[in-house]
Amino acid sequence: MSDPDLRDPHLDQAYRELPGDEPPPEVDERIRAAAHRAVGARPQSLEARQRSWASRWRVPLSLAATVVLAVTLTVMVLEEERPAFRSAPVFAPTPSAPTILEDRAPPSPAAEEAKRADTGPTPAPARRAPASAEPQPPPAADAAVPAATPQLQKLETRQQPLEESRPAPAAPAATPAPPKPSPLAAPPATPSGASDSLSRERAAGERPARAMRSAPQVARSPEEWIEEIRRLKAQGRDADAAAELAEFRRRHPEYPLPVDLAR
Amino acid sequence: MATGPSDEELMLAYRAGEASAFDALYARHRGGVFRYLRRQAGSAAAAEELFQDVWLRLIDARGSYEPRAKFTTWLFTIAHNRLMDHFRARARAALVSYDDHPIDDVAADTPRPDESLARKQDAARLLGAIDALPAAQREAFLLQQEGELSLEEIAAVTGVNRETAKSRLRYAMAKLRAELREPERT
Repeated sequence: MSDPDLRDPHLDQAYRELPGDEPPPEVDERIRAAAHRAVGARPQSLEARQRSWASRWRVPLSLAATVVLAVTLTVMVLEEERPAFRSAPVFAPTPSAPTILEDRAPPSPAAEEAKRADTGPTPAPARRAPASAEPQPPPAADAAVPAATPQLQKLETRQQPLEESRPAPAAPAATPAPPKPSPLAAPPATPSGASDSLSRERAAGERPARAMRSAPQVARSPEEWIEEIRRLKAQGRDADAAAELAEFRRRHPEYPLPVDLAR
Repeated sequence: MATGPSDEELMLAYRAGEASAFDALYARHRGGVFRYLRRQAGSAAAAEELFQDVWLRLIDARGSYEPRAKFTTWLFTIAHNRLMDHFRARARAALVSYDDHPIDDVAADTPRPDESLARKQDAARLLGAIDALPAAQREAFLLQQEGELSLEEIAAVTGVNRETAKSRLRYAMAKLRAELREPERT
């Protein structure tokens, strides 16, 4: 009030001591309800609003926490199971595969004895699979195992003779898994004589004599093997080349043969 | 005056849809508005009806609220207009009767009987004096006391110029002061 004459403390005091008339509670309730309806909310106290905030978020937060917990537990369980896969030997369809199979299924004592006699003083590391076959946890390990399983079963029966028949390369080489065989790749055309010989030997379950005499099989890449076969052909050792080629086809049925060897 | 958000901020919040802002505003001003109406309407029932109408009008008009003036000026303007409608509809002079409000209910915290009696007598005299005021003077005084409005604001609410409002208020206060001093003189 700008004019001091229009304010009287004594009068103000007397007026404040008058009965404090207030609206009845039911009128209060009606007005507040109307006000809340107008803005689409129910009347409630501030405390109730704070409570309702908590109750409104309780369910979503609980669900979110449950989902996070479930996902975390699932990941933990999978992580615990993964080492079992990692510790399993990884099979890759390379010349080193038989060596891996030795780890998984130890040969019979008789076969082991025969192998020792054949291999002689070859150091164990030389017979070991190259780096790709080491029991390490590569990302593709899980996928490689099932893909190689049928081949694994077939090779298990031939494992020991193969070990003996393979010529020893200069050094083992780590090779990636060869590509899948092309359906257009023709089967290798071996010389008729060698083919007959091979079929006979296979029927008898024996190794070719020359293969038996060759150095113990160690890991080598298909490319190296192909080069070896070419070298044999270039030297005029067609029979040896045919035998090697037949063995190569048996070990790497999925490997597309070069045109010069496919004929 | 209450602390926290201003009346204007609360009204803007309510206009934006925050219902709790209305609750705060209502808690602040329900008593003043009700007494302003109660001491002019003539009956408790009429005052309750007017009171409810005033707040419902405020709710309906929330979308057009702009804080160009004090919220209480806007609120008591709505109350004044509703009261004028009431007077016109009832074709009744704004003579307020406090017969249903015994003065015995007045002071509850009075320690001494003679003091209590004196206060009750003062309250009775004051209420009688307010009731005896001309409607315009009474309204100016009630707007000053219940709405804590300035002269300019009283003028704005009642639709008169500042000097008219000042004159009404000055006359009202002089009569009330005289009534309060009357026992001293006798």
